[in-house]
Amino acid sequence: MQQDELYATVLSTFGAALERLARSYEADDDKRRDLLQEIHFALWRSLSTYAERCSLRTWVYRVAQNVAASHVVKGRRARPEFVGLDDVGDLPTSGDETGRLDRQITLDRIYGLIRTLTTLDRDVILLYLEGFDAASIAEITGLAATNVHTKIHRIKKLLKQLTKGESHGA
Amino acid sequence: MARDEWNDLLSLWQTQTPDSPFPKPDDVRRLVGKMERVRRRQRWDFCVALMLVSATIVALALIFDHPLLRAGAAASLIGFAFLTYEILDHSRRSPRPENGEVPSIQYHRALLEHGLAFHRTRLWLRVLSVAPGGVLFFLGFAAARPSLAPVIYVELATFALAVSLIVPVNRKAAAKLERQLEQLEHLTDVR
Repeated sequence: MQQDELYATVLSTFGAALERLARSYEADDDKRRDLLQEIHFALWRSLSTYAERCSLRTWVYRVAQNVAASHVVKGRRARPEFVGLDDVGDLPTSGDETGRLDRQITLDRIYGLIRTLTTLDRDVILLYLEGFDAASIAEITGLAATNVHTKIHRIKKLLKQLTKGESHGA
Repeated sequence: MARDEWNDLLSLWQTQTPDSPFPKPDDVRRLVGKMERVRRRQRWDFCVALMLVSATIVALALIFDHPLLRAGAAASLIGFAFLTYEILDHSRRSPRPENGEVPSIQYHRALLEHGLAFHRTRLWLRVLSVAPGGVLFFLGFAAARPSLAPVIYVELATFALAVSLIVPVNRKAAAKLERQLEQLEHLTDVR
Protein backbone atom coordinates (compact mmCIF):
# COMPACT_ATOMS: atom_id res chain seq x y z
CA MET A 1 0.00 0.00 0.00
CA GLN A 2 1.26 3.47 -0.80
CA GLN A 3 2.20 6.03 1.82
CA ASP A 4 -0.83 8.16 0.87
CA GLU A 5 -3.27 5.30 1.20
CA LEU A 6 -1.74 4.15 4.48
CA TYR A 7 -1.92 7.63 5.88
CA ALA A 8 -5.54 8.01 4.78
CA THR A 9 -6.29 4.72 6.57
CA VAL A 10 -4.50 5.97 9.68
CA LEU A 11 -6.52 9.18 9.63
CA SER A 12 -9.86 7.49 9.23
CA THR A 13 -9.14 4.75 11.76
CA PHE A 14 -7.01 6.46 14.37
CA GLY A 15 -7.46 10.20 13.78
CA ALA A 16 -9.75 10.78 16.74
CA ALA A 17 -7.68 8.54 19.02
CA LEU A 18 -4.53 10.46 18.10
CA GLU A 19 -6.22 13.67 19.12
CA ARG A 20 -7.18 12.12 22.46
CA LEU A 21 -3.60 10.97 22.88
CA ALA A 22 -2.29 14.48 22.20
CA ARG A 23 -4.79 15.87 24.69
CA SER A 24 -3.56 13.39 27.27
CA TYR A 25 -0.01 14.61 26.87
CA GLU A 26 -0.54 18.33 26.49
CA ALA A 27 -3.08 20.52 28.29
CA ASP A 28 -2.27 23.76 26.50
CA ASP A 29 -4.38 24.18 23.34
CA ASP A 30 -1.68 25.69 21.12
CA LYS A 31 0.99 23.24 22.23
CA ARG A 32 -1.46 20.39 21.76
CA ARG A 33 -2.07 21.43 18.17
CA ASP A 34 1.70 21.53 17.66
CA LEU A 35 2.06 18.09 19.22
CA LEU A 36 -0.70 16.68 17.05
CA GLN A 37 0.98 18.14 14.00
CA GLU A 38 4.32 16.62 15.07
CA ILE A 39 2.61 13.26 15.46
CA HIS A 40 1.05 13.48 12.01
CA PHE A 41 4.38 14.48 10.44
CA ALA A 42 6.20 11.63 12.20
CA LEU A 43 3.53 9.18 11.13
CA TRP A 44 3.65 10.38 7.56
CA ARG A 45 7.43 9.98 7.44
CA SER A 46 7.39 6.64 9.25
CA LEU A 47 4.78 5.13 6.93
CA SER A 48 7.28 5.23 4.09
CA THR A 49 9.26 2.56 5.98
CA TYR A 50 6.28 0.60 7.31
CA ALA A 51 6.93 -2.98 6.28
CA GLU A 52 4.05 -4.73 8.08
CA ARG A 53 6.39 -6.30 10.64
CA CYS A 54 3.76 -5.31 13.15
CA SER A 55 0.14 -4.28 12.78
CA LEU A 56 -0.60 -0.77 11.54
CA ARG A 57 -2.34 -0.09 14.85
CA THR A 58 0.77 -1.01 16.85
CA TRP A 59 2.94 1.07 14.55
CA VAL A 60 0.69 4.13 14.80
CA TYR A 61 0.46 4.05 18.58
CA ARG A 62 4.18 3.47 19.06
CA VAL A 63 5.11 6.38 16.81
CA ALA A 64 2.51 8.65 18.39
CA GLN A 65 3.48 7.76 21.94
CA ASN A 66 7.17 8.23 21.28
CA VAL A 67 6.60 11.61 19.67
CA ALA A 68 4.38 12.62 22.58
CA ALA A 69 6.93 11.50 25.17
CA SER A 70 9.67 13.40 23.34
CA HIS A 71 7.40 16.44 23.26
CA VAL A 72 6.99 16.29 27.03
CA VAL A 73 10.74 16.01 27.53
CA LYS A 74 11.53 18.91 25.20
CA GLY A 75 8.84 21.13 26.61
CA ARG A 76 9.73 21.01 30.27
CA ARG A 77 12.37 23.13 31.92
CA ALA A 78 11.96 21.93 35.49
CA ARG A 79 12.07 18.30 36.52
CA PRO A 80 8.57 16.99 35.92
CA GLU A 81 6.66 15.40 38.74
CA PHE A 82 5.28 12.36 37.01
CA VAL A 83 4.29 9.39 39.09
CA GLY A 84 3.55 5.73 38.56
CA LEU A 85 0.07 4.30 38.93
CA ASP A 86 0.90 3.03 42.40
CA ASP A 87 1.93 6.48 43.58
CA VAL A 88 -1.17 8.40 42.56
CA GLY A 89 -2.53 10.10 45.65
CA ASP A 90 -6.09 10.94 46.58
CA LEU A 91 -8.14 11.91 43.59
CA PRO A 92 -10.94 14.45 43.62
CA THR A 93 -14.33 12.83 43.75
CA SER A 94 -17.60 14.22 42.57
CA GLY A 95 -19.40 13.80 45.87
CA ASP A 96 -19.55 17.54 46.46
CA GLU A 97 -20.60 18.33 42.94
CA THR A 98 -23.88 16.53 42.83
CA GLY A 99 -26.07 17.87 40.11
CA ARG A 100 -23.41 19.54 38.02
CA LEU A 101 -21.13 16.73 37.12
CA ASP A 102 -21.19 16.21 33.40
CA ARG A 103 -19.25 14.42 30.75
CA GLN A 104 -16.70 17.17 30.41
CA ILE A 105 -15.85 17.24 34.09
CA THR A 106 -15.33 13.49 34.08
CA LEU A 107 -13.18 13.71 30.98
CA ASP A 108 -11.19 16.62 32.39
CA ARG A 109 -10.47 14.58 35.48
CA ILE A 110 -9.34 11.60 33.47
CA TYR A 111 -7.07 13.80 31.37
CA GLY A 112 -5.79 15.44 34.53
CA LEU A 113 -4.95 12.05 36.00
CA ILE A 114 -3.28 10.82 32.83
CA ARG A 115 -1.06 13.89 32.53
CA THR A 116 0.44 13.21 35.97
CA LEU A 117 1.56 9.70 35.05
CA THR A 118 4.85 8.42 33.70
CA THR A 119 4.89 7.69 29.98
CA LEU A 120 4.39 3.98 30.27
CA ASP A 121 1.46 4.28 32.63
CA ARG A 122 -0.04 6.94 30.39
CA ASP A 123 0.29 4.60 27.45
CA VAL A 124 -1.39 1.76 29.30
CA ILE A 125 -4.31 3.84 30.57
CA LEU A 126 -4.80 5.48 27.17
CA LEU A 127 -4.83 2.17 25.35
CA TYR A 128 -7.15 0.73 27.96
CA LEU A 129 -9.56 3.62 27.48
CA GLU A 130 -9.33 3.18 23.72
CA GLY A 131 -10.68 -0.32 24.23
CA PHE A 132 -7.54 -2.38 23.73
CA ASP A 133 -7.26 -5.70 25.51
CA ALA A 134 -4.29 -6.61 27.68
CA ALA A 135 -2.55 -8.59 24.93
CA SER A 136 -2.74 -5.66 22.50
CA ILE A 137 -1.53 -3.23 25.15
CA ALA A 138 1.38 -5.57 25.89
CA GLU A 139 2.24 -5.72 22.18
CA ILE A 140 2.21 -1.95 21.76
CA THR A 141 4.01 -1.04 24.98
CA GLY A 142 6.40 -3.97 25.09
CA LEU A 143 5.30 -4.82 28.62
CA ALA A 144 4.69 -8.35 29.83
CA ALA A 145 1.01 -9.28 29.72
CA THR A 146 0.98 -9.96 33.48
CA ASN A 147 2.39 -6.52 34.10
CA VAL A 148 -0.33 -5.02 31.92
CA HIS A 149 -2.99 -6.92 33.85
CA THR A 150 -1.62 -5.54 37.11
CA LYS A 151 -1.62 -2.02 35.72
CA ILE A 152 -5.14 -2.36 34.34
CA HIS A 153 -6.34 -3.50 37.75
CA ARG A 154 -4.80 -0.39 39.28
CA ILE A 155 -6.21 1.81 36.51
CA LYS A 156 -9.70 0.48 37.12
CA LYS A 157 -9.40 1.32 40.80
CA LEU A 158 -8.21 4.83 39.98
CA LEU A 159 -10.95 5.42 37.43
CA LYS A 160 -13.52 4.13 39.86
CA GLN A 161 -12.26 6.54 42.48
CA LEU A 162 -12.23 9.32 39.90
CA THR A 163 -15.79 8.80 38.75
CA LYS A 164 -17.17 7.89 42.16
CA GLY A 165 -20.44 9.65 42.75
CA GLU A 166 -21.09 10.38 39.09
CA SER A 167 -24.13 8.21 39.16
CA HIS A 168 -25.42 10.20 42.13
CA GLY A 169 -25.02 13.44 40.24
CA ALA A 170 -26.58 12.20 37.02
CA MET B 1 -18.00 -0.31 39.15
CA ALA B 2 -20.47 -2.43 37.18
CA ARG B 3 -19.79 -3.59 33.63
CA ASP B 4 -22.36 -1.12 32.26
CA GLU B 5 -20.63 1.74 34.03
CA TRP B 6 -17.28 0.68 32.57
CA ASN B 7 -18.81 0.53 29.15
CA ASP B 8 -20.33 3.99 29.68
CA LEU B 9 -16.95 5.33 30.69
CA LEU B 10 -15.17 3.79 27.71
CA SER B 11 -17.94 5.05 25.45
CA LEU B 12 -17.62 8.53 26.95
CA TRP B 13 -13.90 8.45 26.22
CA GLN B 14 -14.12 7.04 22.75
CA THR B 15 -16.93 9.28 21.50
CA GLN B 16 -15.28 12.60 22.24
CA THR B 17 -15.70 15.02 19.38
CA PRO B 18 -12.38 15.95 17.76
CA ASP B 19 -11.46 19.62 18.23
CA SER B 20 -10.30 20.16 14.71
CA PRO B 21 -10.65 18.48 11.34
CA PHE B 22 -7.98 15.91 10.51
CA PRO B 23 -5.16 17.13 8.28
CA LYS B 24 -5.41 16.12 4.65
CA PRO B 25 -2.66 13.83 3.30
CA ASP B 26 -1.82 16.46 0.67
CA ASP B 27 -1.33 19.11 3.35
CA VAL B 28 0.88 16.84 5.46
CA ARG B 29 2.95 15.87 2.44
CA ARG B 30 3.34 19.52 1.48
CA LEU B 31 4.33 20.61 5.00
CA VAL B 32 6.75 17.73 5.53
CA GLY B 33 8.29 18.49 2.13
CA LYS B 34 8.62 22.14 3.10
CA MET B 35 10.34 21.25 6.38
CA GLU B 36 12.78 18.98 4.59
CA ARG B 37 13.53 21.67 2.03
CA VAL B 38 14.24 24.14 4.85
CA ARG B 39 16.59 21.60 6.48
CA ARG B 40 18.42 21.00 3.20
CA ARG B 41 18.59 24.73 2.60
CA GLN B 42 20.13 25.31 6.04
CA ARG B 43 22.84 22.73 5.28
CA TRP B 44 23.44 24.33 1.91
CA ASP B 45 23.56 27.84 3.43
CA PHE B 46 26.18 26.62 5.92
CA CYS B 47 28.35 25.23 3.13
CA VAL B 48 27.97 28.37 1.02
CA ALA B 49 28.80 30.63 3.97
CA LEU B 50 31.88 28.54 4.75
CA MET B 51 33.03 28.65 1.12
CA LEU B 52 32.48 32.41 0.88
CA VAL B 53 34.43 33.08 4.09
CA SER B 54 37.23 30.77 2.94
CA ALA B 55 37.34 32.40 -0.50
CA THR B 56 37.48 35.86 1.09
CA ILE B 57 40.31 34.79 3.39
CA VAL B 58 42.29 33.31 0.48
CA ALA B 59 41.66 36.38 -1.69
CA LEU B 60 42.81 38.77 1.04
CA ALA B 61 45.90 36.66 1.68
CA LEU B 62 46.76 36.76 -2.02
CA ILE B 63 46.01 40.45 -2.50
CA PHE B 64 47.87 41.72 0.55
CA ASP B 65 51.19 40.01 0.60
CA HIS B 66 52.13 39.73 4.25
CA PRO B 67 53.57 36.60 5.90
CA LEU B 68 51.43 36.94 9.06
CA LEU B 69 48.29 37.31 6.94
CA ARG B 70 49.16 34.26 4.87
CA ALA B 71 50.00 32.18 7.94
CA GLY B 72 46.71 33.25 9.53
CA ALA B 73 44.76 32.43 6.35
CA ALA B 74 46.33 28.98 6.11
CA ALA B 75 45.70 28.26 9.81
CA SER B 76 42.10 29.51 9.49
CA LEU B 77 41.41 27.26 6.51
CA ILE B 78 42.79 24.27 8.41
CA GLY B 79 40.62 25.24 11.41
CA PHE B 80 37.50 25.53 9.23
CA ALA B 81 38.27 22.18 7.65
CA PHE B 82 38.55 20.62 11.11
CA LEU B 83 35.27 22.19 12.26
CA THR B 84 33.50 21.07 9.09
CA TYR B 85 34.84 17.55 9.61
CA GLU B 86 33.61 17.60 13.23
CA ILE B 87 30.10 18.65 12.16
CA LEU B 88 29.88 16.23 9.23
CA ASP B 89 31.28 13.37 11.32
CA HIS B 90 28.76 14.10 14.06
CA SER B 91 25.97 14.08 11.49
CA ARG B 92 27.26 10.86 9.90
CA ARG B 93 27.43 9.06 13.26
CA SER B 94 23.95 10.20 14.24
CA PRO B 95 21.83 7.27 15.50
CA ARG B 96 19.23 5.90 13.09
CA PRO B 97 16.00 4.14 14.01
CA GLU B 98 16.73 0.41 14.17
CA ASN B 99 16.20 -1.25 10.80
CA GLY B 100 14.08 1.67 9.69
CA GLU B 101 11.49 0.61 12.22
CA VAL B 102 9.42 2.67 14.61
CA PRO B 103 11.43 5.51 16.15
CA SER B 104 11.50 4.50 19.80
CA ILE B 105 12.21 6.19 23.10
CA GLN B 106 15.58 4.37 23.03
CA TYR B 107 16.24 6.01 19.69
CA HIS B 108 15.31 9.41 21.08
CA ARG B 109 17.60 8.78 24.08
CA ALA B 110 20.43 7.79 21.74
CA LEU B 111 19.91 11.02 19.78
CA LEU B 112 20.10 13.08 22.97
CA GLU B 113 23.24 11.23 24.10
CA HIS B 114 24.80 11.73 20.68
CA GLY B 115 24.10 15.46 20.86
CA LEU B 116 25.40 15.61 24.41
CA ALA B 117 28.68 13.96 23.41
CA PHE B 118 29.15 16.58 20.68
CA HIS B 119 28.50 19.54 22.96
CA ARG B 120 30.56 18.17 25.84
CA THR B 121 33.76 16.91 24.27
CA ARG B 122 36.68 18.54 22.44
CA LEU B 123 35.40 22.07 23.07
CA TRP B 124 38.83 23.57 23.62
CA LEU B 125 40.15 21.76 20.57
CA ARG B 126 37.47 23.53 18.51
CA VAL B 127 38.47 26.86 20.04
CA LEU B 128 42.14 26.17 19.34
CA SER B 129 41.36 25.12 15.79
CA VAL B 130 40.05 28.55 14.81
CA ALA B 131 41.40 31.02 17.38
CA PRO B 132 45.13 31.18 16.46
CA GLY B 133 44.46 31.34 12.71
CA GLY B 134 41.88 34.08 13.14
CA VAL B 135 44.08 36.17 15.42
CA LEU B 136 47.08 35.82 13.08
CA PHE B 137 44.92 36.68 10.09
CA PHE B 138 43.52 39.87 11.60
CA LEU B 139 46.90 40.96 12.98
CA GLY B 140 48.49 40.28 9.59
CA PHE B 141 45.69 42.14 7.82
CA ALA B 142 46.17 45.14 10.13
CA ALA B 143 49.94 45.02 9.46
CA ALA B 144 49.35 44.83 5.72
CA ARG B 145 46.84 47.69 5.71
CA PRO B 146 47.73 50.03 8.61
CA SER B 147 45.16 52.58 7.44
CA LEU B 148 42.39 50.04 8.13
CA ALA B 149 43.89 48.87 11.42
CA PRO B 150 41.23 50.41 13.75
CA VAL B 151 38.42 48.73 11.84
CA ILE B 152 40.36 45.46 11.68
CA TYR B 153 40.96 45.53 15.45
CA VAL B 154 37.22 45.94 16.00
CA GLU B 155 36.73 42.88 13.77
CA LEU B 156 39.40 41.04 15.76
CA ALA B 157 37.58 41.88 18.99
CA THR B 158 34.30 40.64 17.49
CA PHE B 159 36.03 37.45 16.35
CA ALA B 160 37.56 36.96 19.83
CA LEU B 161 34.13 37.44 21.40
CA ALA B 162 32.56 34.90 19.03
CA VAL B 163 35.32 32.36 19.71
CA SER B 164 35.10 32.92 23.46
CA LEU B 165 31.41 31.98 23.24
CA ILE B 166 32.12 28.54 21.75
CA VAL B 167 32.70 26.88 25.12
CA PRO B 168 29.84 28.46 27.11
CA VAL B 169 27.33 28.02 24.25
CA ASN B 170 28.26 24.35 23.94
CA ARG B 171 28.10 23.87 27.71
CA LYS B 172 24.68 25.47 27.79
CA ALA B 173 23.49 23.18 25.00
CA ALA B 174 24.97 20.19 26.87
CA ALA B 175 23.18 21.21 30.07
CA LYS B 176 19.89 21.42 28.17
CA LEU B 177 20.40 17.97 26.69
CA GLU B 178 21.40 16.57 30.10
CA ARG B 179 18.17 17.96 31.52
CA GLN B 180 16.16 16.39 28.73
CA LEU B 181 17.89 13.05 29.26
CA GLU B 182 17.21 13.21 32.97
CA GLN B 183 13.56 13.96 32.27
CA LEU B 184 13.37 11.17 29.76
CA GLU B 185 14.77 8.77 32.38
CA HIS B 186 12.25 10.03 34.89
CA LEU B 187 9.39 9.78 32.42
CA THR B 188 10.24 6.24 31.49
CA ASP B 189 11.73 4.95 34.71
CA VAL B 190 9.20 2.15 34.98
CA ARG B 191 9.77 0.97 31.44
